[in-house]
Amino acid sequence: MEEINISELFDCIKEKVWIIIAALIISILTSIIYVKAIKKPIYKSSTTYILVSETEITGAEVTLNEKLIATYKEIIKSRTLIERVINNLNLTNVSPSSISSNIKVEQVSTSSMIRITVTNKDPLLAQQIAENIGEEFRKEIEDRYKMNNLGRLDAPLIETTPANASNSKEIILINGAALFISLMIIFVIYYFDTAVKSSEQVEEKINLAVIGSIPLIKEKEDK
Amino acid sequence: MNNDLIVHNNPKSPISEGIRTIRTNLQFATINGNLKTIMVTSSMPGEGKSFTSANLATAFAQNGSKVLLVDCDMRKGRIHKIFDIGNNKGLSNLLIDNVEKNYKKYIKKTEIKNLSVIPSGIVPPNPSELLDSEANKELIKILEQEYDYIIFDCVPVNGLPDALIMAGLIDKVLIVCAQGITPIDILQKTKTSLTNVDANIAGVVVNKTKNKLNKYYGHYYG
Repeated sequence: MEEINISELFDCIKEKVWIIIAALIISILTSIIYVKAIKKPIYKSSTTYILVSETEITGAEVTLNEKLIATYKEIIKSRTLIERVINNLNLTNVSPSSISSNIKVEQVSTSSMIRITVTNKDPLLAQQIAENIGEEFRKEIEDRYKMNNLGRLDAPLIETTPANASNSKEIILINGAALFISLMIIFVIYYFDTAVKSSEQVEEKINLAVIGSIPLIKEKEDK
Repeated sequence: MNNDLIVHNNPKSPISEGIRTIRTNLQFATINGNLKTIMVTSSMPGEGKSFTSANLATAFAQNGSKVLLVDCDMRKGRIHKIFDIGNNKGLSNLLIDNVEKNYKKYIKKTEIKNLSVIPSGIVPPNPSELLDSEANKELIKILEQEYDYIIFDCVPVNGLPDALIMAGLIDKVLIVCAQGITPIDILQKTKTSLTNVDANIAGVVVNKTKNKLNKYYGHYYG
């Protein structure tokens, strides 16, 4: 519709800075309420297992281990194993998929180590599930595959501090969004504002000489 | 005196400086042509015509010129309020009287030296016709002999023919617009309407500006 004059846009932003301030006040209040009242602590518990090699390590062995780790990841998160854990811990009203989605299995860097991390609202439960799934996993490998090559390194602990204790991400997100949205609003106002914005605009668009401008000054004696 | 007369009450104000700049630009722009009768109009109500014409007339008077300010807005003129004078005898009455004989009776002096005013008068039933009459043409001819500058404060262009009628009778037209308020396409319409009647547009005055420049230049000597 129109060209966008950057300096006029900045003047418009300066004039409408109250929109940004109002948005930031709302977002700051929202972040405070969220952090103090709404945000629920989440706890994690991790346990690690090592693939122990009984023979000398060769290149072929290392590749095999990689493939095994990929398979082990799937086994740990399988429904069978999780149902056993639910049974062992007598968990009620819990679906395997909700547990499964809260379990993260990863290969630690490029090593032959697996880390299982469980996330839960209850720190004790997180530790118990981690402990259980780890051991069920090791039993499964021993029983079904007759392989004795898994050793546990770190046992899962009951963490006292929540994993999401740091609020910085949420605060940055909420306030950043407020800033962005308010700038967008100002931009839309500017873009759709068809009023005279400056003498230059009048001279360019209307092709008439501007022979003077009278400033808007709120003086005490003024009307 | 009314607070609107910034040029008189507060001559050092940036507003006064803006008005004096307009006065200077008008004088320079017509070194070769005629500048006796100036008409102030705008696109819509509320942009600052009366404010501008009253202060501009005062500024010309302060320069030593003999100035007459005529309120051509016979519907809602407020020049008489700005200068604190009565409005029961003004332009509307004058135009149905014998102009040649009695015009002096309708000219009111003001507190400002060299500045006189003809207020709008009682609201007539036919303002546009009065402006279009022979009496008006005759009046302007007579007044041109007596005054150095005559400033006509008129109604907005859009919606009424009054301004277009007057534009054909005077030397220069000044269009007032308000920053942040006047839509630019309406201003374009105003220009088109005036050029269609062959008006001689001196230029545009942008009122109610809010630039950073106000801060730098506004109080240079203040």
